[in-house]
Amino acid sequence: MSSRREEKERLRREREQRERERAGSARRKRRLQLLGAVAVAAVAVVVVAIVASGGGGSGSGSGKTISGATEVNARFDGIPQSGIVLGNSKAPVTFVEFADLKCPVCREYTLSAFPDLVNRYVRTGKVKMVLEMQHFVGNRDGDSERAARMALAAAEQNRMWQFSDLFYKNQRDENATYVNDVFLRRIASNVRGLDVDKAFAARDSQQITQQLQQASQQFDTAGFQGTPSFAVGKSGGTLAPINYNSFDVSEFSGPIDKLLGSGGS
Amino acid sequence: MRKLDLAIGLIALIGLGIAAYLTYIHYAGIQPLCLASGGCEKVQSSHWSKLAGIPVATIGLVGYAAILALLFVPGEIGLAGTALVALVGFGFSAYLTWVELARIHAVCQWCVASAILMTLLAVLSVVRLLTAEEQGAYA
Repeated sequence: MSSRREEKERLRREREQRERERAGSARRKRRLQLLGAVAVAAVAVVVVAIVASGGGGSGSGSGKTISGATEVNARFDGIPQSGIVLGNSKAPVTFVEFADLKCPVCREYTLSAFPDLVNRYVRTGKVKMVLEMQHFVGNRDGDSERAARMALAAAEQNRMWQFSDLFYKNQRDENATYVNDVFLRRIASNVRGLDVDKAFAARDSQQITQQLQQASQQFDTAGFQGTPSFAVGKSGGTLAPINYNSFDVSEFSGPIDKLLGSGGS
Repeated sequence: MRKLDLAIGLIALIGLGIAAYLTYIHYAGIQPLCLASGGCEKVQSSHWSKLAGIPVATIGLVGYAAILALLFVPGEIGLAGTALVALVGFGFSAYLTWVELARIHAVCQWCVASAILMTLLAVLSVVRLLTAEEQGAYA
């Protein structure tokens, strides 16, 4: 009796074992199928994400497009630049601007009168503009100097004017500290043709330190009190300050036209 | 299985922290703490730091949070969901690592750390999917 019961028990255990193995095998098969489906879905999602991120594109590595980039790059297209000088080097009139990239009034001038002046006088070869970069607006935190250094580094690649214009277009509160490397790279990487890494490498050079000191000395020597300040004169001659009351283009075109000896425009 | 769940949860939590930090510095406009000079800042300000206008770090944040949440979903839906999110994260992290090396020519340690975590999560979640018992232990 006992032996028969044991035999039945053994058979029952074997049957259960076979059922467990069958169930396990079926589960493994189902899980593998599930994993296959999951893998296919994952590949599909990743491919869509790569395409959406612009994968396989030009690979320029440039920063995100920021406000005004297209307009600014177009503004200076075809106008020669040499360091801090914009325009024809043999232009009969020289127009110097003393500006600070964190200065909101400089921004106002750049957004209002400046584009007209460039089109009317610089693009036509009558005037060359010089930008003497100052660095005292809210410079407790070094923001102003960081901005000026990067602008001068861009000048070494003849891209200072695009950089400055684009900076103004994205300028923030003068009392805020925001001119860090992320901000500078965003601006610089939107300046067409500017080697951003090269500019970053150059910005702390002794040469740029000297340029900053010279620009400050010129500002002090001219007796200017704030930015923006302007001086204009015959190229190679003495420059006279422009006493402006607004940023209407006529405030600047008047003195320039007088030097050009005609209606100018 | 509980150990596997715990390991996945812990790794996802670390990833969540990294993604939250990178999301914060993206919106605050500040520089990430970075050992290599300029690498993180260069990667973070690159064209590839956003996907359809959304910062990649934010997408990572959502991914890690989803993995954590799916750990609590019972049955094969939870198992498959965790594996799916982890595999997507792994694939996209691999692509972004290639972008850093081949396109941006800069490496962000935070991104590399996240890519390693996603790789671990992908492996563990696949093992979990294949080996988990029929019922129970995932909730």
